[in-house]
Amino acid sequence: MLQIALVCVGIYTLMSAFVGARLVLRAVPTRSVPELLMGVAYLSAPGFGYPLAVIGSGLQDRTSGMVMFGVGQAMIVVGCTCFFFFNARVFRPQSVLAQAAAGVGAILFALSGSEIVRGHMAIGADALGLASVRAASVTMLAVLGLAYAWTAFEGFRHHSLMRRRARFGLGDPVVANRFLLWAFAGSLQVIADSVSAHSLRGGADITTDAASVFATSLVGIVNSGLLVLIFIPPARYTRWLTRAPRGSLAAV
Amino acid sequence: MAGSAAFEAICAELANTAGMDRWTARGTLQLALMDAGLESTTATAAQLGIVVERLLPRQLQSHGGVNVDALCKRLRDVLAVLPAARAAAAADEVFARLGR
Repeated sequence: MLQIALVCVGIYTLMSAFVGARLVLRAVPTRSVPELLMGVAYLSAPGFGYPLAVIGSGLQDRTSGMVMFGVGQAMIVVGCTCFFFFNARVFRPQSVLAQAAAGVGAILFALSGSEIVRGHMAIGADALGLASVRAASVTMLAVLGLAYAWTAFEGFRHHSLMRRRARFGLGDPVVANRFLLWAFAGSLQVIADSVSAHSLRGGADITTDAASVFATSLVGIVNSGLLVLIFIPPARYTRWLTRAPRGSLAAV
Repeated sequence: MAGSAAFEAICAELANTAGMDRWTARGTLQLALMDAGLESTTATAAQLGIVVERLLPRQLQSHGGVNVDALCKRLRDVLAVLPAARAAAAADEVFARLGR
């Protein structure tokens, strides 16, 4: 089971790195901030941060392992911070509250990340046994879960707006579908994060706990498919969306 | 929260209409925008043109003493001369770019 889970999470990591790199490469020449935020978010957290942290905590050489773990955690913090600010900037650009929420999320993430690194520096891979590290991990999962819930809510809201626009010839079915897929991806991440946070609070090790591993790997593989449909949709898929009966948002 | 340039221009023109104050004008236009699935902060002149043509007349019927046809023509004229101000990219513009 662990090997299948590793493959699923590995596929999600590769897809995230690919999508993230593609977005960053497109954002740099055009100086497009949303693409840059989303690109760095995918590239930094699931693309490199989580794998580095996992590999680093398992390395025999303590010094290299610690460096790798620390770099991984820093990349997770940077990536998730970009994700929070993507939400605020794209969905609520004029809301001071949204920018503040993204800022608070970033601070909580940075503090939790530094506590986790501190614990690992002190006692290595068994740091999850420390109450402070466990609390920091739960905080990270809770903040991330809230951010995914926010993004899912915005995705569903914008999908609904796009469907209303379609009645007046204003909606693009491909973009409407993208919002819906985005909302599904966010909702699935909320479920995976909730399962992991629940396991952590119950004293389990989320890297071996069956429920956490199952939820994380299942969401990882499904979200890999969603990443393709959202960021690099095959031509056949977009044709299917735009050629739906009534030429409208019926298929979305 | 301030609306887009097109939204504010239409609100200002609506508020000049007899029997309508600033808040009634904003509320009336907001209702029409909601029906169309649009948001006041990002609505463009082109989108508002469709709202003025297809949704606003129905909202204005409830305001007694308003010459709906003449008012809508005036609003279309306002939209036609608006400079092509570029508002901050709306979420749908960003999501349209993300999948290219």
